[in-house]
Amino acid sequence: MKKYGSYKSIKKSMNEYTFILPAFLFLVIFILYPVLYNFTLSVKDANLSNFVSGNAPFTGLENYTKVISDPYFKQAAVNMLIFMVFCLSLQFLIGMLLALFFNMQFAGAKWMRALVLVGWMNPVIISGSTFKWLLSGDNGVVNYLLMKIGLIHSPIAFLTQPGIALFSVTAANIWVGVPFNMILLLAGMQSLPLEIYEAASIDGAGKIKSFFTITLPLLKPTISILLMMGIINSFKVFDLIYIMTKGGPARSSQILPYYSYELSFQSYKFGEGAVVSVLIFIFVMVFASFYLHMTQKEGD
Amino acid sequence: MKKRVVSVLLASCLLTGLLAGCSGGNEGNSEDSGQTSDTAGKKELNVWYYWDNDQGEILQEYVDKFNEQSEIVSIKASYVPYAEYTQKVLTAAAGGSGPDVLIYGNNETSVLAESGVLGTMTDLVEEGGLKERILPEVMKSHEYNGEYYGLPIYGNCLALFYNKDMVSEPPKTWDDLLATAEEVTTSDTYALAFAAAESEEGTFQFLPWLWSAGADLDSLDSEEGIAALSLYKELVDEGYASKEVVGWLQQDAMLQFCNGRAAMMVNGPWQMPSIQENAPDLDYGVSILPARKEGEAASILGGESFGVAVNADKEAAKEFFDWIYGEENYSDFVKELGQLPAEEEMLMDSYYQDDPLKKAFADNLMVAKPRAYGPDYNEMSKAIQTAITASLSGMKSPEEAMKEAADVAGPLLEKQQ
Repeated sequence: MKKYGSYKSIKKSMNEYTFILPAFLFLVIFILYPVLYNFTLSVKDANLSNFVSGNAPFTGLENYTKVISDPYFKQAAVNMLIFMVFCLSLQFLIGMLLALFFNMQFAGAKWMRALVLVGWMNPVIISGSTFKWLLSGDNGVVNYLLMKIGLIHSPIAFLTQPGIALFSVTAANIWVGVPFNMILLLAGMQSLPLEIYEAASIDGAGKIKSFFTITLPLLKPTISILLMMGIINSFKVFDLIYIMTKGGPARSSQILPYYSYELSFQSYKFGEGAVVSVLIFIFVMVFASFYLHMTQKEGD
Repeated sequence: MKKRVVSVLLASCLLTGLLAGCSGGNEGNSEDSGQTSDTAGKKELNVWYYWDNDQGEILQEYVDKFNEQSEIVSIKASYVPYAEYTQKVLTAAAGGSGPDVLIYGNNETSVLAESGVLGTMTDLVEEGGLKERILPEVMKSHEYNGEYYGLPIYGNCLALFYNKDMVSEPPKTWDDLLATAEEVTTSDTYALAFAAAESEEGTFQFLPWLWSAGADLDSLDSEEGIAALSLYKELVDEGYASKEVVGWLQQDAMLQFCNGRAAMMVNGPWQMPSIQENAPDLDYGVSILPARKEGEAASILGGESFGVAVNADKEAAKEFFDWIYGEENYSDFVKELGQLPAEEEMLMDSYYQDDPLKKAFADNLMVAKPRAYGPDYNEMSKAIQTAITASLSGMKSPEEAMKEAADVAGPLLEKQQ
């Protein structure tokens, strides 16, 4: 730690640093600069009239107070939380069950596994449109089936009913994310040494017991990266909502990234849109450093 | 230690996509138009457009023709997808690499003018006598702070489409509409399809009803304004229109109409080729939108225009406009695009008057009003969209919903005075 950054040590490892220089430049230009630019944007009154000229006046934290006092921000934040909790937990749970299922050797397992992955490989525009059709209130298949079985008598407006719309987009996003969870967990499981399971079964541990005492603890690194990426990914969901509900009805299915888009590109309040991005950034950064801290510990 | 540096970098790599939305891309999707003519010594004029398919090809055809005959200007037309058009135009202008001439929707005039993308064209408009030729309301949609910022290529507007097998006489008033609706609604056919999604299209379709009721954006919570939203609500609550309209764009309404799931729809002339394609046997008519009181029909103006960027070479742009708006080109250009000219004299041409569908739109176009509410219009529009969806989905009564919209729109309008 002490020598880090000193001229001598840099010179010493100059060669090695040259190797990472291209990647470093790439990160600075395409990541660090936009992030910093976004920070500066969030403390300026950047709007239509000064966007092109670029000389937005500095307004300090005014944008922050404006955004935080907006009731739609609170709604979007609460929605975000609901969305994230459901997506994370159910994507993980279903992904885990599917991974356990495909971890068993049976005829056609590879086939079916590949099929499950299709959902993840589809562009969101396709998954989103498909869900929009499936869940349509007038002629959606889901409503048709539910009515045929006799569970409901009149169609449910999955996408146009406040309170339900958010859960419909959440469900679609869970479907999109499950295969990714499954494939990582499955890869993790398949890398676990069989001997441990053999030893456990000799010691009399059943399937359930060995799952909780062997599989889960050994999968911890995989699980923690999955959850981390789940959080980050849920902050990137925009297209799905844009396609399925446009954040409606009456903004009831808006989450933070969508709200940020609305501010920036619908209302042209670029400064306030940037505030939302900054808040998201901070939130994710907290989780990211927590995650790094955790993996660091494990590495030592 | 190095491992740590790398992992920090990787971690920030994971965060990237989040903020990408606010970083501006400057490159302007410039496909080479494949022009072969010698461009040496000519002034180059970059034109951006978002027209797809046929319309884009027609534009390119005219651009090629222009390039062949012009000795001083060479045009390069570039396609930018509609979904990101305004964003691209804004960010490119901020990066100093925008187009010289751009095709844009006339409702964006104030946004593009206020942002400093478009330069004033008042002299161009007034010089060539273009101003006199063009319908005054259409011209008004290109005005901002007393200056003109665009020239209309064509105008369009909303009208009532009706399926002749289901509706014999198109309704003229709201009462007629409700009566007709009750007649034609069946278990699998709605009377009316319209777009009420949380999008500009939702506001676009609502404003004619609002205007016909006698209200405007400064009086959203008046009796008249509430009446307009209540009509929407009645249509949905009575089952005359689908509850799903709050998720529909105009495209969705068109599909319902084509499938015979809606007897009538509110839509624009640009849907006619799609109807022809999706339902070639559909026998339909077009009529003016029902008015609250007979004779007080209103329609809303859309359409596309040419704008000139602030720093563009105006002389070069004028060369192009003189040519395209010239007698031998403009009329054919608009006809080929399948659109309506924004000029009264041309609308009187038998090409538009003898075809009942085209005539209906020509009639509507003459009473259509623009959305000329200044650069904050998008925010007002958003408030109206929220009011519509909140009331149609039962979250709020039309009174409450319109009150909230008025609380947003009122101050924004006042600020502009």
